[in-house]
Amino acid sequence: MPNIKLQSSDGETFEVDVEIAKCSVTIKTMLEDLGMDDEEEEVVPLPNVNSAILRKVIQWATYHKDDPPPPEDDENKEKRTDDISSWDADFLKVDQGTLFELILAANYLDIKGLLDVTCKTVANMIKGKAPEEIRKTFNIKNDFTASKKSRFVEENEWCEEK
Amino acid sequence: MVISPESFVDIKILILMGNIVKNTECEMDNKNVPVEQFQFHEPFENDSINGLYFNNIYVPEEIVENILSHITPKDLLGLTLVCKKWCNIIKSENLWRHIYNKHFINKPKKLPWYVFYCFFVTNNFVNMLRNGNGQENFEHWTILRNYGDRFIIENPPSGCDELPQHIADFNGCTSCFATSFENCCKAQIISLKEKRLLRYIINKFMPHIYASEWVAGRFDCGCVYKLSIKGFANNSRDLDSDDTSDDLAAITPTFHVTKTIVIKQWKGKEWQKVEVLVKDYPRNITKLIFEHEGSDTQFWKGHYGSKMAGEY
Repeated sequence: MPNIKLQSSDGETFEVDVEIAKCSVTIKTMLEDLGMDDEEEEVVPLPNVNSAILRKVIQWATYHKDDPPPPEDDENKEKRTDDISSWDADFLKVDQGTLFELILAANYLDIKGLLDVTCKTVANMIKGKAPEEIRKTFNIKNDFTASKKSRFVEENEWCEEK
Repeated sequence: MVISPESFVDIKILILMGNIVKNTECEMDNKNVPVEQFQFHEPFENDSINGLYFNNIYVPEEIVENILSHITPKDLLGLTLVCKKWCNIIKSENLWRHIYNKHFINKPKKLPWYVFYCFFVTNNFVNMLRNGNGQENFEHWTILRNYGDRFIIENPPSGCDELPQHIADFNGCTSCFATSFENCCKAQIISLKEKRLLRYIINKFMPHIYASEWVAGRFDCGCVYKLSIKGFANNSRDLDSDDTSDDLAAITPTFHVTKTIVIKQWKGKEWQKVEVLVKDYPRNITKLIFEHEGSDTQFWKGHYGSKMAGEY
């Protein structure tokens, strides 16, 4: 299998199997658009991803290289938040900063599987928490005024079926 | 009987909605506002990007949408209270279209968030009728007339074909109701009184109301069958599911759609589906009634009248 070189924002170069690198739609399109030949020793610069995150992304992509392609839309599909494989769950036992950096990298590199599983992980951090706890977890400011808030509380209550 | 989400066709109404749902600054106690006067709040104009910073890392709005789309729809309303940005994301159409496409392949119609919310969180858009095959005897039904040898439940149906089991309407049930030589009539009442959001949606979008059931006769006897769908908008007096037949007869429905089928002798043993679609009806419906009746046409002793099953 031919390799290509990926360069992180901080200048580190990673040599990766082309097929693995191509799980990133961004890299795949780049290679096609530039007509990069597999034989050439080209370096693909990824100015939005630092080396620590790129290493993680490559680790993830390598593990998942033989995954079947994401199932085509079908009528009965029912996605659930808790269907994170144990390997992914272990892989994502990282600090919050790294988790969100991974999300941003998956978004930039357009790796749907990684984006989904990282978003699900954040969703699991949100589940079952009260708004105040959520604000604390992610350091989000409470920007409601009391009267505005109570209005929305009422609207929500109105929508809920007894 | 189903209130069909597929029938939300009035895009014209939706374009007008921006004009209708304004006037947000009035401090109104929404909690007890009648459905007819309820208004949703406008999104925050100055929502800032506060809610897009997760421990100082900026995350684009569409990713926050992706994250929230993994939350159970029922729990999303509670999350509107985290901050203005989240509130705006959750009370916007985009997030809900995202959620919709996790379940269905077809493109969702352009509808406000609360229609999707209602669709995913309540049972309002699935079959509202219960005990369609008499599997629970006459539970949930109000008998209005019970003449001749009265309603019975036949399992399996006698003197006609068995229920076609590949059809989902029967939920695997094999039984049916059978009528007699004089009129037998019963009804199921669906109260929308407590379903404020649903009534709001009904008033605003007038979704189609669809009802169907399966009908057959005996192979050797002719029969008649009639299905009625009625809507009530009574505010003065409230009907409940345990109302007697006299109560039901005393009020006039605001709409009333019927379908009658006459099955000739020797022609009726096959099951046929009877469908009613109500597209246009007055506003402020608070109650729906599914009513069906039948008898045989030859006045034979026993249960030679029309048979019903798989109400939907």
